[in-house]
Amino acid sequence: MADILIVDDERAIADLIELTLTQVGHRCETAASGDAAADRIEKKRYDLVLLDVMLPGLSGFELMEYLQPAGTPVIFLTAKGELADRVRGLRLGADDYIVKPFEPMELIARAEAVLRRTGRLGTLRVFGLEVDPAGRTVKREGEPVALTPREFDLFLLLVRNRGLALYRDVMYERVWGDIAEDDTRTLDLHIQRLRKKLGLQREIRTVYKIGYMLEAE
Amino acid sequence: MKFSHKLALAMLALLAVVLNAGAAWLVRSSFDSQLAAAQRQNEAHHQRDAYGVKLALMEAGDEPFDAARLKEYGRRLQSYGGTGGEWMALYNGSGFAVWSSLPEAVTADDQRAALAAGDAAVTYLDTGEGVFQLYATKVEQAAGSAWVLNAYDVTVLFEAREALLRGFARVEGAAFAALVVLVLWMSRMLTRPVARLEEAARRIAAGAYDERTALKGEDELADLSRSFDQMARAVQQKVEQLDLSVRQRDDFVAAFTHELKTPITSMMGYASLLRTGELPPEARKKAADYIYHETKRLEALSQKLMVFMELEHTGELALEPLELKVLEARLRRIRPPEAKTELVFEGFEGLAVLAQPDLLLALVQNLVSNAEKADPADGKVTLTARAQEGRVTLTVRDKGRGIPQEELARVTEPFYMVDRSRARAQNGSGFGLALCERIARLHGGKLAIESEAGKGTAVRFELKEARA
Repeated sequence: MADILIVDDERAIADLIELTLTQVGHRCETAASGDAAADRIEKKRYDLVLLDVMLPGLSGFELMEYLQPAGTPVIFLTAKGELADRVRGLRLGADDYIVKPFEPMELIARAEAVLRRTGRLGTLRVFGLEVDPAGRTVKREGEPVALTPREFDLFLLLVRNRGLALYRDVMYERVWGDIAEDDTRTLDLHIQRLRKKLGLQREIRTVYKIGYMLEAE
Repeated sequence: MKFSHKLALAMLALLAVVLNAGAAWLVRSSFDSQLAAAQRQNEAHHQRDAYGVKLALMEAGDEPFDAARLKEYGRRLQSYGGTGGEWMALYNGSGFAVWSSLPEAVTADDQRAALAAGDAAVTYLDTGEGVFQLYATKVEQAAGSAWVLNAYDVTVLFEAREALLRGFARVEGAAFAALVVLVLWMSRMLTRPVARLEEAARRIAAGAYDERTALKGEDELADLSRSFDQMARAVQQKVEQLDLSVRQRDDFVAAFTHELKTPITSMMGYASLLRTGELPPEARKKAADYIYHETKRLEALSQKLMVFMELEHTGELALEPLELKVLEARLRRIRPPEAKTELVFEGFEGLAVLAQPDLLLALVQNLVSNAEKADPADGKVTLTARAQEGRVTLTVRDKGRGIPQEELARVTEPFYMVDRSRARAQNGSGFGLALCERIARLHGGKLAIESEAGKGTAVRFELKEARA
C-alpha cells in the first residue's frame, strides 16, 4: 500500500495508471498539470510520484525542484525516449524513467522496484498470510513458506488481482513470459501446489471457462 | 602530362625551329657572299694567268708552240714570282699535262674533271684536308693551243662557317636553357586559373558547397570562373533545399511518432487490463471507451494525414470557379445538428472564387471548427469575404480564448498544440492548421493569423476571384 501521485495531462493515460495501480492495492491521486501537481505536493507527502515531462504549466523537470527536498521518489513517464532527456531526468534525481508506450505490468514492476528500493513498499496481507513483494517471501504466522520463484510469481499475480477472475493464457504469459501453448497443464500443476502449500484450497478458485481467482476477503 | 608542360613543350619546339632556321639562314647567307667574293677574285686571277699564256702563244707567231716551250713558260713563270693563282697547271691542247705546281691532293682525275667542266666554270674539290676552287680555260692561237688550270685553297671559308655554326650552337644552347625556365614559369602562370578551378571543383565534389573561384579578369578563364561560381551557387541552393526538406520530413516523422505514442500507450494499457481477467463492469466500460475513442482519433488523424500527404505531391491544383453561396450552403449542410455556435456569413453574396471546392471546404471547416473550440463568448463564428483587385480575402473570426502571442508562430506546425489536454478532450489532432496552411498555399495564398489571448482570433487567407 503506497500513496502515489500521477501527474499526466492525458486523461486516458492518467486513468490507465490509476486503474492499474489501484488494482494492485495502491492509493492513487491524479493531477493534470504541473501547477496542480505542485499544489498537491505542498499539501501532502506521497510515497511515489509518476511524472510526465511535457506538462502544461510547470514542466516535469521543473516539478523535480518541489519534490527533491521531501525526498519523494520520482519516476518520469514520457514519450520522449531520447538519451539526453533520460540522462537529464536521472541527473535531476529521478529514480527511474519509463518511456511510452508501456505495459501496465511493466509499470507496476518498475513502480514497486522503486518503492522497494526506498523502503516504502509494505507487505500485503491475505487470508492470514504475509506477502512481501520486495523480499519475495510468504509467511504464515511468522513462519516462511517455501515457494519456488514461479510459484511466488503466480501467487503474487493472484494476490494483486484479488477478486478478479484471471484468464489462464494471460496468467501463463505473465508468469512464464511466454505465449501460452494449448497445453496449460503446467499452470494447473502450479495452482495445485500453491493451494496445498498455502492451505488455500477453497480460496484459490477455479472459474469455469476462464481460469483462476483468489477470492476477496 | 600536365597542360602547362604541354604548353611549354609546344612553345619550346616552336622557338627551337625559329631559332635554328634563323641561324642557318644567317650563316648561310654570310658564307655564300664570302664564297662569291672569293670566287670573283680567284676568277680574275685565273683570267690573268690564262691571258699570260695567250700572250706567250701570240708572241710565238707562226712558230709552233710545243709542249717543251709550254713547260718552259710554266717554269719561268714560277721562277719570276709565281702565278696569279695559288697553284697552276698547264696542259697541251688535247689536255695532256705539261707542267704543274698543284699540290698532291689534287689528283689527275680531279684535274681531268675540271678540264671537262670547260671554260669559265668553277669546280669545287673537297680533298678531305681542304677545299679547293678549280678554274680551267683553253687558250687557242695559231701557234697552238693550251689549257690553263688554277687551284685556290678556300678551306678557310668553310672552316669559318663551321666555327660560326659551333659558336652559334653554344649560344643557342645557353639561350635555350634560359628559355626553358622562362617558358615553364610562363605556362604555369597561364594555367594557374585552370588549377584553381580544378581544385574548387574537387572541393565541391567533396562537400564544400560554399567554395567559389572568383577569378578576376576579362579573359575566357575569368568567364569560366564566373559561370563555374554560378553553377556552384545553384548546386549549393539545391543541396540546402534538399537538406531542409529532409530535415522537415525527419521532424514530421518524429512529431508523428511522438503523437502516436500516447494513443498507443492507452490502447495497449487498457487492452492489457481487459485481457487479464474479468474486470468489474464499470472498469471494463471505461477501458473499452478509451480504446474506442483513441481509435477514432487515430482514424481521423490518418484521414487528415492522407490528405496532407496527397497534397504534398500535388504540384498545381485544378482550380474551378466556385460561388461563395455554394460554399456557405455546403458548410451549413455538414454542420452537426447539435452545434452550439452560430455561423454568420458576411459578403458571401454574389462573389465567386477560383478554388478546388472540396479542399476549400475542408479548409474553411477546419477553421470554423477551431473557432468553435475556442468557446466564443458571443456564441458566434463570423465568416467574412471581401473582394479587392481580383482577389478575395476570406476571414474566419471568433471571440474565443485566443492564442498566446508566443505560440502564434508555431500553431501551423504539424501536431503542435497550445493546450494538449484540452485539444485531446476536443478530439483535436494538432494537425488541422498544418493542413489548412498547405491547402491555402495550393490556392496561392497563405494563412495570416491574428489573435489576442482572451479576446479572440481571426484567420484570413486570399483566393483568386472568379469573374463571370
